[in-house]
Amino acid sequence: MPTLNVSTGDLAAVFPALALVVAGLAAAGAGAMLRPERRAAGAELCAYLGLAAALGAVILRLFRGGGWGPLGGFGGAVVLDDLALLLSLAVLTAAGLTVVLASDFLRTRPVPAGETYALLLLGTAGMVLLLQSAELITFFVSLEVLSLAVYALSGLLRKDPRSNEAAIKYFVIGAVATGFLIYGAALLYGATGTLSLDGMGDALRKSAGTAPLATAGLALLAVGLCFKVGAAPFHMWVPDVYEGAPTPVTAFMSVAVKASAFGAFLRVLLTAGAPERTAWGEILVGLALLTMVVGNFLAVAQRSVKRMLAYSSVAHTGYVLVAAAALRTPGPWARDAAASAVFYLFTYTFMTLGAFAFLAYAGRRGRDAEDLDDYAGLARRRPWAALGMTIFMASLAGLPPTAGFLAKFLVFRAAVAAGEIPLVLVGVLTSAVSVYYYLRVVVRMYMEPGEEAADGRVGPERPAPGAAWVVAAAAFFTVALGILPRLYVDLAYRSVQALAR
Amino acid sequence: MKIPILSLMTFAPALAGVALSAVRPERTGVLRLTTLGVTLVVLLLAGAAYVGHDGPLVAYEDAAWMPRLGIRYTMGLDGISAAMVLLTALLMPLAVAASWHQPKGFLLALLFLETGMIGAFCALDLFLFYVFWEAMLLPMYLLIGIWGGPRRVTAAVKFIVYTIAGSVLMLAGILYCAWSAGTFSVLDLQRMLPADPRMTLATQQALFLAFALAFAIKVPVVPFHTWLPDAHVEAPTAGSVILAGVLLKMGAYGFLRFAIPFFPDAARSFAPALAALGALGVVYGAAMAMAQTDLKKLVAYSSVSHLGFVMLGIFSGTIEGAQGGVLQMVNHGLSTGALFLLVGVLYERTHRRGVDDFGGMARVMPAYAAIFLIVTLSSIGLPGLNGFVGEFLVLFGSFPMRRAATVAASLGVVLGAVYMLRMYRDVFWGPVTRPEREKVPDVGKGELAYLIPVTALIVLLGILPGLVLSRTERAVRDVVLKMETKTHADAERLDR
Repeated sequence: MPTLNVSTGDLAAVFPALALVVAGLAAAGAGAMLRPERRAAGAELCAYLGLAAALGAVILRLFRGGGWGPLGGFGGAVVLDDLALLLSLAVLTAAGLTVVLASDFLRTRPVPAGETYALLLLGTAGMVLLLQSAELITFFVSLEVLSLAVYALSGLLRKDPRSNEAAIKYFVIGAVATGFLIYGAALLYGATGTLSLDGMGDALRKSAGTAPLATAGLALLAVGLCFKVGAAPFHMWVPDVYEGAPTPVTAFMSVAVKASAFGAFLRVLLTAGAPERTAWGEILVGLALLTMVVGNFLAVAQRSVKRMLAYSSVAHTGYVLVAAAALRTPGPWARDAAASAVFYLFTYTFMTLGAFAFLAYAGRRGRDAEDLDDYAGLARRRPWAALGMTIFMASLAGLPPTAGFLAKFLVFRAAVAAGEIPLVLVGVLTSAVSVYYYLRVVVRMYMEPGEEAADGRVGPERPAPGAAWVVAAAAFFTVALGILPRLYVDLAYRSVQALAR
Repeated sequence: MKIPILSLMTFAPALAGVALSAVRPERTGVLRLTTLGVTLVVLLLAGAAYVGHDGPLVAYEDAAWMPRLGIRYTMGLDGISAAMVLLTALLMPLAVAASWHQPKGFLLALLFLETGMIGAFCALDLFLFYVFWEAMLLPMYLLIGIWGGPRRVTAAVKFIVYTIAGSVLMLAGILYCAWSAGTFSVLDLQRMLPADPRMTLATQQALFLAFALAFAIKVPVVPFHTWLPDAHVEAPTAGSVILAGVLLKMGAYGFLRFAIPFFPDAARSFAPALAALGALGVVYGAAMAMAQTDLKKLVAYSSVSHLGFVMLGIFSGTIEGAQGGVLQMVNHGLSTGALFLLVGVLYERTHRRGVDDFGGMARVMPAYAAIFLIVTLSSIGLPGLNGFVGEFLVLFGSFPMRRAATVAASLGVVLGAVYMLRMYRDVFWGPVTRPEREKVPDVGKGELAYLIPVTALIVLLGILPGLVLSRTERAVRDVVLKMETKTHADAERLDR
């Protein structure tokens, strides 16, 4: 029986997650113990401090240059490498912006602040750990930590039947996904005799020809992850859960869950799955095609902007899958494909969070602006915010000079290089379709007259200063990453350098 | 240090737009004068560039942008792009003047539009070009959709969906070219792609079509033109002027700059078909124009007809024809731009655009009628005015190579005279049919300020077409030779 030896190196490797857990517990404590009128502010402060500590550590390590190699910990269970750092940056930024959104939200809804921030921080900790997972137990545990937190968050509005339904639906389907995941993990372990992702890759490489068990394991693992990221045909829960969950939670899960789950997905494919490229490559091509088509075409039919964004999230999963599918061809272009996926996930964070923040901001009469009709004439009442929303829509549609265009461009570029021409053709054509439904929002805001509020006042009736800030920040990054992406593109390449071969 | 004149004229409007966005909408004086001032500065710069850059296609400005991806910020001009930039820079102040009473957002959209257009003509990196190409769309979409006519939303959506459907395929083509040649540089691609042994004729043809569809929709080549009448009719005056004057040229420019030089063999194989489509456009556009009673729709269909000439010229296979096509691009920008400005003047006074709504206006608005007559005649192609030289060169150049198409297109010239003159007769001659039109004021000083310069240019180019032809000759010759010759001897024969 080995004693549990935890070195400072181990702790350093999980410092961001650790900071988040501590802050999460502190937020819960603040929510329980402070005087009632101070609870929200206290919990919010804990959230900011925890996120700042985690973000500081991530940024410090990321910008120390290549001098600091990947940091392993806990006997190789976790690894803090550039891929984990870079996507953690996206996840932590998303969490930070979600806290800002949540502070608006908590002011007007009967939800205790302490547990909200606690769940948010613990979920974020799970995401950061998931990105760092180098073996299957850590992988599985952190995925469940993040999932449980997000299930609970989507049911935050306990009195609201839609919120309840969302939580239950998400939980049940998540449980199915967990089943697939754990079964796949078991098969992989059986095939290779190790839990370490790297070890599995090595074992599979040696035992060429005896891998059907491993292939099945990888496929089941992939199915589980496809549930989590909302890839068709496992996307059925996405619109209902996105619609039912409180808007800040929807924003958080649409970007942060996707970034972390896809990051882990990439790591599994590139390490354990590397010798099995041809097997999963075929599957991913099919999934990518289906996801792009289903997401984009179903988004066209939506009347609710929130559901439209849900289907749009499915569609964007499809584009990231194009990059993942392009990884099936080994060679110099594999790095392009992996880096383009990382870049995509990062830019997607800003444009989608921004769009959801706008939903919260533009709401009236005590609810978020979910219906298309809520957008009529908004540009006249709120010109700056409408401009922000226009930027998000253009970016999601992939129009230059926004980050969304560059992200799509990089993905398609890598896919062309990998010879995935049909994927690229379907990708660009579905992008053209997406222009139609994204710009419909713009049409409503700018080109149709809106009814004024009954009391003659214009603009949102409930002030949402946080949402306004999130819209502004996200719009800034959406444009900045589109015009001057050099630093970030370089980081994206660096983050996959060691993995993608 | 060299002054980055191309970047200056590209980005000055957008920077002004960003600065003006902080100005309160009520301060119309600042907004209008700054907008006009910036477009005039750009005109000066474009004029300087036009005089200075008549050499071969060279990168005048070049900087690393996304080095890891092989994407650079490369800007340059040759005769063709210099002419297009100057045309854009000329039409912009006119469009601003015609939008004098429009709100702040309108002026900002015009400024951002100018950046997109000039950037697209200057870009010598495919990625950069695509960014500008798409960046033009959103301002135009907003111009049509917010400040357009009653069916503006439909028209705006149709406009953007059509053009984006075309350009995404071009994006796929761009990616393929960049991947196979390993660069986004237009200059390198023009050199490398035709020489690349992997580029079989079938590959070339597929890629050519991917590019050509985007450009054909923009031109628009019949049968990809159906978005155009809607967009023109619903767009506000400035929108129509820029749409007809510049945006449609973007398609023809794309053929000359990218599609033909990149895939000369494919271009050669498709040239007869594209020339035939051009001739079809001439006749079809003219026939449709004859059936119109709405002035804007009539001018819109006449655009389809005139751009048919441009296509016929470019794909005529001779230098004369292609020169005529390029000159026709400039001519159409001036004449049709002027026609839309004129229709806008009439519409602003009466809120009517139907041919039947008017009659005898020559007596009511003599100065207006005189200008309108000059522009009408130039659109028909009367010798001495700009349109004549272009049409003549196109027909003269295409006759030896594309006989049937030339004959058909000549028919279009006749039809053009019929519908334009009939329209002029109905609107301006005879007795004043509606008493309420008796009081319509003639053009004022503000309107003359933009109508006189454009009319003067129409006359000037009619007398001195060399102002354009001398600049574009070298560039046009390069393009035509790429498409039409396989051997040096052929080149010399054509050069003769």
